[in-house]
Amino acid sequence: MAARLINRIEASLKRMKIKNYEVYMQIPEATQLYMRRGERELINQVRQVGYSVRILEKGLGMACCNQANDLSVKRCVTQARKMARQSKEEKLVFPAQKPTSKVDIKDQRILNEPESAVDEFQERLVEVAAKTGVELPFAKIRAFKIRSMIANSEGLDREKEETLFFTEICYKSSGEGRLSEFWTTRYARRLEDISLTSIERWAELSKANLNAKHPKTERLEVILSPQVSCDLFVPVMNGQCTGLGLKQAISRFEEGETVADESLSMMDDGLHPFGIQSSPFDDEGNPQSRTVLIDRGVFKNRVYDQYYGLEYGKESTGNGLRQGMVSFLVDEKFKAVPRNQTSNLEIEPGKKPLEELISEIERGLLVYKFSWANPDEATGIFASEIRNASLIEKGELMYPVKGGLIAGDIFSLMKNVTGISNQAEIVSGETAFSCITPWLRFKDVQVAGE
Amino acid sequence: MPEISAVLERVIKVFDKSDIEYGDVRFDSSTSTGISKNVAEENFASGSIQGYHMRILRDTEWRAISLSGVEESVVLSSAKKLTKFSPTLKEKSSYSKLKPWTFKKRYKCRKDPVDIDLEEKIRLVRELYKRLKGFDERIVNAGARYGDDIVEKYFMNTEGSELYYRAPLIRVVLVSFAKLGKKIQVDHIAHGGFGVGYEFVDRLNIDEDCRSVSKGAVELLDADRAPSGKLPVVLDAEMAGLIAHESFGHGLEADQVLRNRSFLSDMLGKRVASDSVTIVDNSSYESAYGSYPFDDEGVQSGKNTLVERGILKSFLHSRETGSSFNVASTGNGRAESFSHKIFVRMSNTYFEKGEWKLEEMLEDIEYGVYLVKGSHGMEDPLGGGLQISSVKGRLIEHGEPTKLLRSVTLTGNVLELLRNVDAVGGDFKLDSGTCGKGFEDFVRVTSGGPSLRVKEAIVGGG
Repeated sequence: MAARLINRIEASLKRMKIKNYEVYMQIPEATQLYMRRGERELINQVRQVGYSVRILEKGLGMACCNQANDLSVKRCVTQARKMARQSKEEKLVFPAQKPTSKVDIKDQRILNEPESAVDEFQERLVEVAAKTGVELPFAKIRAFKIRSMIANSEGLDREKEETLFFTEICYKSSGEGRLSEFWTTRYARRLEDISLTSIERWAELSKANLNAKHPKTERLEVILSPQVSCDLFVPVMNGQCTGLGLKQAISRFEEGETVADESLSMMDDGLHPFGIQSSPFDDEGNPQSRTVLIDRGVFKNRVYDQYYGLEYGKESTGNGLRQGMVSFLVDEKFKAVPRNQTSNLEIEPGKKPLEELISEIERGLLVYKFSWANPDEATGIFASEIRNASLIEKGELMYPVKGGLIAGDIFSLMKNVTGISNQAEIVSGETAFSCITPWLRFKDVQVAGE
Repeated sequence: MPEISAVLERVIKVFDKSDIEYGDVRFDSSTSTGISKNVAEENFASGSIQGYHMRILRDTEWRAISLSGVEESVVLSSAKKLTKFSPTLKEKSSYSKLKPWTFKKRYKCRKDPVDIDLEEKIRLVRELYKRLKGFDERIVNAGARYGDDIVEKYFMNTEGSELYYRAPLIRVVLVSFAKLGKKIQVDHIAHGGFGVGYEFVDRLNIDEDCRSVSKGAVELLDADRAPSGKLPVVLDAEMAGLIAHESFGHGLEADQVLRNRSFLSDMLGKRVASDSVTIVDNSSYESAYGSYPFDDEGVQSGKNTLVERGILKSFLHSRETGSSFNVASTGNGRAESFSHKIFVRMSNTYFEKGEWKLEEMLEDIEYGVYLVKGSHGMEDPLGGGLQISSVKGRLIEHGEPTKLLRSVTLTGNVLELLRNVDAVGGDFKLDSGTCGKGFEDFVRVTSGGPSLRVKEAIVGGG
């Protein structure tokens, strides 16, 4: 059916004598399960077909649609052409077919038995709650299997099948008249990437926060969890390390410039096995790749999509993605225009385990979670409320901390790295979609509290 | 689209023939145009997105199916399949009956966005961009975005309700980036309206908007970092709105109460704010971006007073939560689209205005911070924690606004803050945006109110 639809769209484009075009199609199936107080609240099955057409005729125009009948196809193509004819002149050439690398992006369980995968995850959440002695006020669980196709006027013809799993979980604890929770969200390619150990840690953190104290106003050494680092670094690196960021004058990094402590190296790895944005090809059909962004503190390379590759005389690095910040697109990527952005931001692990990083701190904070880390993409400024953290004194975790702010800017943080743990995790954040990062330690960070 | 109504009728017939307790079917349609321009790109896009959402309650359990791109036969066979599942839950879901009603409205506007040439919309965006970018050579990038959306909603249920509306939505967003050396600063403004035509754009003061956004970004290049600690603060209307919505309003969503996850669970009828504070959620606020005539469960919109002179009066309800609390739905059951679940959501949430002038609020403060223009915020429904950030601020010294401050964040406990409100301004403004239920499921909303003075609150600067 999908092949027939894409053929019909291409036939419509050809009938209208449109020479330069791209068709992007998604056929997602989602199994959504919602829980309230440990019980199932609703199951929703979602079946969609969605496509977008980009046409280059002087300028570039796009139209998207999720109806498969001939009239809707024709309207969509007509709209895209109308947009293209009035847009400013562009020199874009749609990509041609090039060899791609193999990369694992499928979980067979989600692919073949999405309902049982979702049920099993639900049971796991309930078991952890019972074992840890905490409540499960709500959870959202969604399993996606998605077929995507891209074809264009340059003869490009791509197809892939992928899986994604999403959960938003809240564990809650109560005792002596106090309430606390750990509330988080996570995307993964595979069920196993949201491990039982992680879920148990989230439940334990909800319990620990019952005894949380407010922080004082002081400057401290701070260790940030992988999820917090994802939220802080991905949006800002998108501004710094892409052709788009350079064109928009957001990027302040110059190639060869020291922008971070020498212990910090960052890559864009679009081929990381089971990375959340890993894929053989990006959302324009270009091969995804691995690009060094920062090597031992020195800024090395930017990543490009087709448009900014041509603009700056570079090859596309496969970084034309239809992904949003904050509002993530999984099964409705066909609604978005491809945008030059990082795929999986990977921060190179260090040599010490997390425990050793903690043991070296005289006084500091270990931050598991902010309420919302939302740095400004251009300025790098952030100020985020601490939701789950621990005070460190003389190398020991002392007591949980909640409330108050951690404030600063990402560029200063990058220069103040004092330690990187030796194990990286594939994580999604709440602001940013995909990162592979260890725990990171920074000196001289402003904490605002009592 | 009369044929849509006919499909919905046939779905309801399938439901009626089964042994389900309740069923509804909704058809959402969105036909949109988006035009944006910045220093790097012009993006022109249009969209036509439609789909069915069918939902049933059988014995004790809810099930739903969302479909797009399929023929009527698939919709009907899916409806039939939906009624066949075997419920397994122990806990019984309650659902009070609602008197059926009918509603049909096409929002009338002087200039329907579909009748306006694409060329005119493009001209508008290019003009906005030119004014933003041309303000000062330090404006290195600017973004102008125009979007319109023709929203159509059809709803029918097994109780006999038949509802329909067609409404245009318009949103204009302006942003400027100023740069000096390595310093970059940003300022923005957004306008949005529901049930409004292109005359909404004609009424904007684009000259003043573009000037104030670019001027704001340039001025921020020389702004200082805000002090950190507990200080007296004054909040402008946008910041007040972030408190009404993010910090306070999410705790009033009755599904959070049913989840045992609201800091306001036991507070109905009790004091939650100083007596100068009244907070409402008004989904029928004329032309406001978060408005609608009926929610996604087919309940009529309206004005709900949540806090009256400091006393908590009501939670926000869907039909399901209302049934559990034995009260009527407040018309706040909303879904992002046909492919998403219905949750209890806010609409237009704001503080009612008072009588204070800004100068009067500032004059008693020896040293404090005035937070200006909402940037973002995050809810803490369980703990009532507060995290909201402004785009900028002013230091208050000896009763006067002095140094310009860059982004200021307000933290602490929202009930403590509301009890410390000692002055409510006579000004009023609503700010448009989108809101997630947790980290997903976005719906359009507004928030706002007048300026507020708070005796003391924790602030920090980035």
